[in-house]
Amino acid sequence: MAASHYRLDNLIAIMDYNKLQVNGFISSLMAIEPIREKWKAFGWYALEVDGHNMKEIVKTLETAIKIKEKPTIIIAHTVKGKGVSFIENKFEWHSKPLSGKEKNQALEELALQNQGKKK
Amino acid sequence: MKKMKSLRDAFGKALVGLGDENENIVVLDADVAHPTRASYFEEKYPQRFFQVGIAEQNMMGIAAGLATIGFIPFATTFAVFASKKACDQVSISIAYPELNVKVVGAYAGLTTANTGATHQSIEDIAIMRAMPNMVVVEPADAIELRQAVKAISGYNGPVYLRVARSDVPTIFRDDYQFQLGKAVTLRKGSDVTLIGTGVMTARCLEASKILAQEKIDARVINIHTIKPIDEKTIIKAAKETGAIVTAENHSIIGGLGSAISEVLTDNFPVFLKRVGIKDSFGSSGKLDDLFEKYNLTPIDIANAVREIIKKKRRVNQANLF
Repeated sequence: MAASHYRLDNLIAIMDYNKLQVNGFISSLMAIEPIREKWKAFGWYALEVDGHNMKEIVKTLETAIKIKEKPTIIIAHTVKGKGVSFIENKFEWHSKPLSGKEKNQALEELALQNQGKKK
Repeated sequence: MKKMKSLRDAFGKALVGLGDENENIVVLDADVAHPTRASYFEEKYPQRFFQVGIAEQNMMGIAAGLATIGFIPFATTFAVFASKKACDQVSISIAYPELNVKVVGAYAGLTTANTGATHQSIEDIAIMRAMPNMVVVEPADAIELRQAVKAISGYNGPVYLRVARSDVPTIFRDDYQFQLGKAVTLRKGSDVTLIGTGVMTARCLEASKILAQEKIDARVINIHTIKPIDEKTIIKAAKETGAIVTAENHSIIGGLGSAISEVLTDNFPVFLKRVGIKDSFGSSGKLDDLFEKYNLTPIDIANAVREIIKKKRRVNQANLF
């Protein structure tokens, strides 16, 4: 409320929206939707973006910087544990440590992903 | 002789005085500027006054942010809200990073305008004392308050300033020199020590007069800086008088009395009696009636002394010390 009341257009909030909480999916435990409309109702300019696409993120930030008289919220849709097949989108992994084997597999998958991107 | 002066008016004027001298002073409020008198600052320096609405937690966050870029923010609200509603933000956003924010808790203790338990802060000293890096100050009269406000603005770090709403008799002279962290001995004495803070200090002085008539010579000490507390003065009083009564406009759990017990237990245990609110919530009523109901009058302080002096004499006779 204060941010929009004071027209803080030099303020950009980024929501890392992975849809999970420690105990499971937010939608089934304590739903927060419609989240975009809620921010807008409080006077924020709302943008959405794929939180794993850096090109898109940069473009979105450039748009956000141009918004005047309102603060901006960027809802970045993300996947928790992105890039590691056995962790992706699984709420149990919020605080689980990886075993040696799991760590190696995870690093391998991430390395392959990075290699793929470099090409 | 003892002129009654409004502590909150003194606070409002002190803030303006600071604003006159230092352009980095900013004041924040969460919709209680009129009762706290932060409104005086708002009138003179509207560009340096920030209204956040009834949103004390947000106020502390904004104050913290302002401090990071060199302002000296006074985040003003009622003591109940500063210490309870915004406790996490004061602790994590201000005390933990040691930011130069002055959190002001007005309407201290029972001193509210009939607004009852929800607005009467009985545990704010306990809460703020337990926060690392937090300096805790409660002035005893208008003169001390004005100087305290100046002193804390010159101190670099988090401070909690507790301000009562009520009128208090002036006990300091115009040439009084406030020193952060130093207790003030107001009356010499050797039979017992009365230690007060805030509005209770004047009541300790009154109690000492009652006791003098019974040939009990009470030392009276004012502690404005509850944290960090002046251990030396307390230990000296314990050694030289052998018994202490503390008086605070706050619960007997966790406030001034507890702070002093900690010093005594670590260094020189003597019997201590805590005059204060006996672990109950406040209630709505006229101030004088409330102070009577909750046993915070000079007579209650004198009674506490009589109780403790009996113990002291018995122990002396038993030669235990």
